[in-house]
Amino acid sequence: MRLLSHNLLQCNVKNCKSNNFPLKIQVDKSNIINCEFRKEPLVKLIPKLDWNALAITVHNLAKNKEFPEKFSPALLDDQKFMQELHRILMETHIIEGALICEGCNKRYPIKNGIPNMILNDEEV
Amino acid sequence: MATRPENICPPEIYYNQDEAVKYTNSTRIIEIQEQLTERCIELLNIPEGEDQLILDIGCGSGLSGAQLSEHNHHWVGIDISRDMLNVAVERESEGDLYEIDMGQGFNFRHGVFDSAISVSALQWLCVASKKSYNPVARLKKFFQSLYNSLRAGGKAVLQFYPDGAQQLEMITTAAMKCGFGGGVVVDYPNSAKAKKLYLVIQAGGDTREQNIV
Ligand SMILES: [Zn+2]
Repeated sequence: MRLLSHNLLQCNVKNCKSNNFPLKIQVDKSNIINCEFRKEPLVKLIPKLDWNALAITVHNLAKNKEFPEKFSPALLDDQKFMQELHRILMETHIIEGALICEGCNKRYPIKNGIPNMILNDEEV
Repeated sequence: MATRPENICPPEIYYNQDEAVKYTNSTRIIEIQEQLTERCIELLNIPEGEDQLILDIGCGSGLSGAQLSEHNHHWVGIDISRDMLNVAVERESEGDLYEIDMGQGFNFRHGVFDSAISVSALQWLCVASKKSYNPVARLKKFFQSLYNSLRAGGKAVLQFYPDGAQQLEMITTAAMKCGFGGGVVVDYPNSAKAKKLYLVIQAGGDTREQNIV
């Protein structure tokens, strides 16, 4: 799982409607898998992101307090920042760990890079 | 007629490790999946040069995802078979993978996907492979989730193998009830063997086309 798709994902438990995003990430093992930096597709993905959720996640994970809390268009021209964003969204893979919903405490385990989002019958 | 796999057991059990490897190593299956995926992409009718964020429903071992990557699309794949997903990881699939039962619904943020495809998966929803399964309710959950996750005007092309007219009706009715517009495209209608069905549906109005007019 990369942080790109983590940014799209909310808790799926029935009636869990508040505080269900972003899911907290418990990292037991992560990996950087390099892929080609292509600026234009990355720029096009930005409107799809919930920037606030991304900032919270990055601050939690990397203790990287430099990641901007608000998006500003000037960032698009900051080559160093764009490469950092590429590394965060496209190259960082969570391999083992869990996603935890702070709304309902549901824990979705991550194994082999794949979060298990299957619900119990009573959670559907 | 050969026994249909969805009538034997649930997909997460049918596509076990052996079956997942066998499936992904069969050149015949690879070729068919590639062709079906290409046709899905063609039916999405994406403007030239537009890289989209696409949901691949029942992505399995990533055969369809590889085609999406070829076309420079970003994709997120969901599947209920852990063994198939593990093969997708092994094949270094470029998309992100989630173990999700599409009949339970899924909860991506509203409107984040530009499009969705599905290759040979939807028919699994029509059978009650577990006692607690209600196919109509599961189809409803699925199409509601899909509708929510697509942007306004976002399209989904879902190729599947209905087990007769009743299943086809069940699936299209469920889609329309959840607000989708669209219909079924049939390729090679006169060949029992080559015949392929695609449910081509759209969530709400196509804002893009309206902009052009
Ligand atoms: Zn929750």
